[in-house]
Amino acid sequence: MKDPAIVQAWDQLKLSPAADRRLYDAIRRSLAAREAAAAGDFQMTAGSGASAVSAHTPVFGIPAVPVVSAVPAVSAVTGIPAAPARPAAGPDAVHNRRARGESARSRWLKPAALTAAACLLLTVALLPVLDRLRRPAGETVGRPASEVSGQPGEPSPEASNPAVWRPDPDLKPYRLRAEEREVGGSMGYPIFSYKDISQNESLDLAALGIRPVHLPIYRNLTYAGQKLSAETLLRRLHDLAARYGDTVAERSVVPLYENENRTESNGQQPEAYYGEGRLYLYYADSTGCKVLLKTPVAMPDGLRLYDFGNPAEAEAFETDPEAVYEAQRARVTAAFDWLYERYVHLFGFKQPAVSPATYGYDYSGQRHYGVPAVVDTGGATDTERLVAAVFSRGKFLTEYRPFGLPDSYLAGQPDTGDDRPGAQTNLFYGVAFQWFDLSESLGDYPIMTPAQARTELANGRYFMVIPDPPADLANRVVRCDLVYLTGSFNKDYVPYYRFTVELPPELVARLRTPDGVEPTEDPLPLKHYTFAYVPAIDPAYIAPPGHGDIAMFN
Amino acid sequence: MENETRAERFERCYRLYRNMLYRICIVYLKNEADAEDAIHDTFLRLMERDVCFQSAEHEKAWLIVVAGNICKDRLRHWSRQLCSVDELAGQLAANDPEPETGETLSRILHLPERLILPVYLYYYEGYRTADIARMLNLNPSTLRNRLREARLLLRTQWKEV
Repeated sequence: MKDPAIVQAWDQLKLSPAADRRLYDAIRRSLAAREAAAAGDFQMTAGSGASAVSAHTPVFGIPAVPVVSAVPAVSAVTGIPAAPARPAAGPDAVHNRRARGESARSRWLKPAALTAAACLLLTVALLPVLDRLRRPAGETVGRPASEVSGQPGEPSPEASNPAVWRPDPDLKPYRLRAEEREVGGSMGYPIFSYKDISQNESLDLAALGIRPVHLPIYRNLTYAGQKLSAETLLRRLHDLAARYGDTVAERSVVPLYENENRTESNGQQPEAYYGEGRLYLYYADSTGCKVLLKTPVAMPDGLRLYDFGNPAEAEAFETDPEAVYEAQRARVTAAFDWLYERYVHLFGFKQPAVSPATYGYDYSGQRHYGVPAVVDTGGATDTERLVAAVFSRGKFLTEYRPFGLPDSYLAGQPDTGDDRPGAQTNLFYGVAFQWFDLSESLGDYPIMTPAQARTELANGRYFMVIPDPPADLANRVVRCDLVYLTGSFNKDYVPYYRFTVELPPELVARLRTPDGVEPTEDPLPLKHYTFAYVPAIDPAYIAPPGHGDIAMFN
Repeated sequence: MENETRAERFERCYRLYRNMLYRICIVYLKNEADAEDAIHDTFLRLMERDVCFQSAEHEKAWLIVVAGNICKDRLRHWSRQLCSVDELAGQLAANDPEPETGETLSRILHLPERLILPVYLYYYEGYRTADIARMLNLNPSTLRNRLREARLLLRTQWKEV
């Protein structure tokens, strides 16, 4: 099949070492920015694995990755030193271009920014109305000022009567080890940029009245990527299949591709299991699971959960990026609503709630979105509701006509005439959700109030990933969420108050710029935020008394 | 691949596929800067979308298709900096230590656009025509005709030399 002359010719066509370094560096920067923003989306939503910041909680079964600096000293791919300092402002393609001295975007950036500002004003005015329209009945909107300020808001029944709960007299103080401050990792600093924090619409559990006075600490039984035992996995798969009206006979538990004699590149078989009926059950990793429909559902034309690159809008984007992104956001919301109405039961949540996709800006001032998530807020007590919201969340899986799937998978899909391969029909093909093993509790611990936690923050007993945090951190708090750190390398799942704090622009510019390079101005007048964590457990129950070595972090 | 962290997945994919994507993108865009941007966007899309790949082959094919789509989107973009095949071939030849190989590559790049990618995927990546037809959304017989046409053109050029 291979012609030696042609192979040799193509072999010559490859990235130059300089381009390789430049590209590798640029992609990693972009991923860092997006991952951080996406983490902000999720963690800020329901306060799940606060893996947030530099670390995505393994929200969809993707384990947290070790923290690495924004500019790796040595490329793990090429084995050569990372690219020398570039005008670091931007990780995105536009910055690749800029770094090469091209200025395709500069022509329109300023007028676009002005137009965007006008659109934003209009959008901000309309958002509360739209938001009210799309939230489920009974769901509260916005955050009480008291919560932002670190004061308890309207107390929930549980919070207003803490006397109903007393800690176990034999409860041992929890020793907060350094490992528990592992916020997972991603590439780059966890900085989220918005025109204003109000652009972050993610689900606020306190606003839903979820204000527990005690929370359990769980042992992480899948620490460092360990998988569930075969017996546990099989039992859970049986339970899961049964919930879907399907069955998994033991004899049918075979790797998905066994018959095709395929293995993954690492030589391992993926852990996927046939349901005997209409499902694939897919054990993605230690904390994630997917249920794929054997027959995917074609979504109506125009509904796309991922719709961030419509070519028809490319030209309009040049003149009015905000309007284009708003249009995309509206489509994503419509697609999500369509899915939610029909398939939210697939998650099996007691009381599902929507955590809207938040939207922010990347380094280059371009808008980006996450995808709305479904969060379980059900439970008999505030403690149960918060634990559910942190550990039970999921998303719908959709894709343009996936390439590589068997023809039977695509049977009956209409040909829309779209000439792009794989772009014909958007398919809904399943759900993904977190699958934590919480079977080992270390005890139910009393927790501080948000106000007490804020005092701890002001006293410096917190940790964060950003170096050289501003001294007036406590005065920069714009939001407070109760979360768990659920990274793969957290030995235990411990609750924290996660404060969203606004960072001074000059600090952000310094962090985003390699040493020796003059920081560049933000392309848009954005505000930048990051997280600071305070252990939520009552200090009296942390050994050694006080806060362990938490303060040593900073 | 299921056990991979995000970072590991990116490292593996970048290591495996960067040059393949470069070839595809440069064939479409004929401009190194645009090709780099397209590769950049392709990897971002890979990492952002929670695509459930059935195999490494599936992943590779997905990348080929997505890179092609991104390039087509870019080709439609008015601000794209146009670059001729001659310019590109000149740039590449300047970097090429082996003139003979560079000459072959130049001939391939001078083929009609619709023929280049089939040639690459068939002769270099070793895909079957049925697979390439699916990736490029072509009728398999059309694809085979294009390969035949490309062979004929290359043979003619070599004879002329």
